[in-house]
Amino acid sequence: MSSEDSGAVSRDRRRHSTHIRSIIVGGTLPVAIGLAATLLMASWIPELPDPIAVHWSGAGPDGFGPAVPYLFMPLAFVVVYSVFAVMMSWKTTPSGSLASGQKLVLVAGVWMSTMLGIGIGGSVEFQRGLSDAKDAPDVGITLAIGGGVGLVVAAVAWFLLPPADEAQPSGAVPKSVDLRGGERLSWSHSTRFGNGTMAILGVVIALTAGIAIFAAMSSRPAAGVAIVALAVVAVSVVSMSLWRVSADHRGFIVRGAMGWPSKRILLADIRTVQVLDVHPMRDFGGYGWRWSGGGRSGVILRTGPGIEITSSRGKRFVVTVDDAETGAGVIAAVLKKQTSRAE
Amino acid sequence: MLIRIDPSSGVPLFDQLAGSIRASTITGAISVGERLPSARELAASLDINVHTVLRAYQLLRDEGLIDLRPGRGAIVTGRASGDYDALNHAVDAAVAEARKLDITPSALTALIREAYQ
Repeated sequence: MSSEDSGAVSRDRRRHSTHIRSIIVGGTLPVAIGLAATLLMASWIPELPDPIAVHWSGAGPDGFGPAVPYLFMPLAFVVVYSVFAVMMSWKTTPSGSLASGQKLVLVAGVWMSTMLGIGIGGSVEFQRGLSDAKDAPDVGITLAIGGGVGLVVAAVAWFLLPPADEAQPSGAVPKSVDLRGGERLSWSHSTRFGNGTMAILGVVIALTAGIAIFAAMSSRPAAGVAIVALAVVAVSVVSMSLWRVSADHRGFIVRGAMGWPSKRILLADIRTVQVLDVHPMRDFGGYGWRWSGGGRSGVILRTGPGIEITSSRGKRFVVTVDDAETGAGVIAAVLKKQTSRAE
Repeated sequence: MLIRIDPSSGVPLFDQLAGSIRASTITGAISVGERLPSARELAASLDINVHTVLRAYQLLRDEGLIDLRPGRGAIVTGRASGDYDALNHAVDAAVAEARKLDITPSALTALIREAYQ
């Protein structure tokens, strides 16, 4: 067996172990905590008032409802979040480990399940034996305890995961586009969120609109707040979802659909250009205009090819865009022309 | 979409620009429904006059390749790129052959122009 083969085998083994630990920490553990809390609360149902207090204003309870949906709420949240967290950490780093952002997403599920389990569990426990839920004591303390204990459990969970891999994936030098004599080049391409991300954003906008309409029907001041919230969500989604990337003699330019936000890196400030494969969660911890460690930022809209520009100050900017090879090739060509002119 | 123009060649700039965009729709580098950069943006990118870009866009509109509306920009409406597969292969083959014989791009273009006569 060659050393290359054994390297691939140990990497596969490490990736397999990372997957198992991700499922245990991000899935099994939080779901088990949520399930235990729900079962415990369910066993108290005969002793609870009906309806029970489900919302507090600081000066006693101000919202009441049936016990069963309230008891299942933590579990439902945790199950949905766990599926999301494990999916987001499935793509490991090249060495088979996890980026720190992925570890954070996984242990956040442990924190949330503990916080909700103790917080909501405590609020229900306080109501055992009461005949009227109006006498339910305040629950701020149980949520605070839940949040604190959750931090400790999440910290332990962090060390159950493999050590964070901070190595940033490196790209490849693009093939310079042919540029001769007095020719001028202009490359541009639009880039947008992937279809899956757009679908999720659509659901978010629909939910916000639903809440806004519901709130607007119930009270006049709420209507104002709801409309502002809806406008903020809509504007940020539109400004973040469609971009135009261009490369020419001026340098590298990325502009949002509404002209803002935008980023312009002048040719004189470009040190190198690379093409690389981007995994948003692994490399940037999410989508949109992202910052990650080590002076690296970018417009990250989907998994796949991207252009990475390293500025003369060593800062790196990444954009996910189709036909990245040509765009990067144009930058490489105009950089080459600039250097040959300077010599 | 990659646009390439050469101010030192004898062909007018708007003609070169229109040709470059036309070629991009044929190779599939621009797909139907895609929005072209605004005339102002493209002019700045190529360091040419905005009227030159507008003239090229108007030419492409008259050919039915793009839809030009004030405020909406230029949108590609041309035929689906699938129809051009055979042509793209033929162009690749002609360029490969020309490279083999050390024939310059302008000489190859001249040959193609001749063949049209």
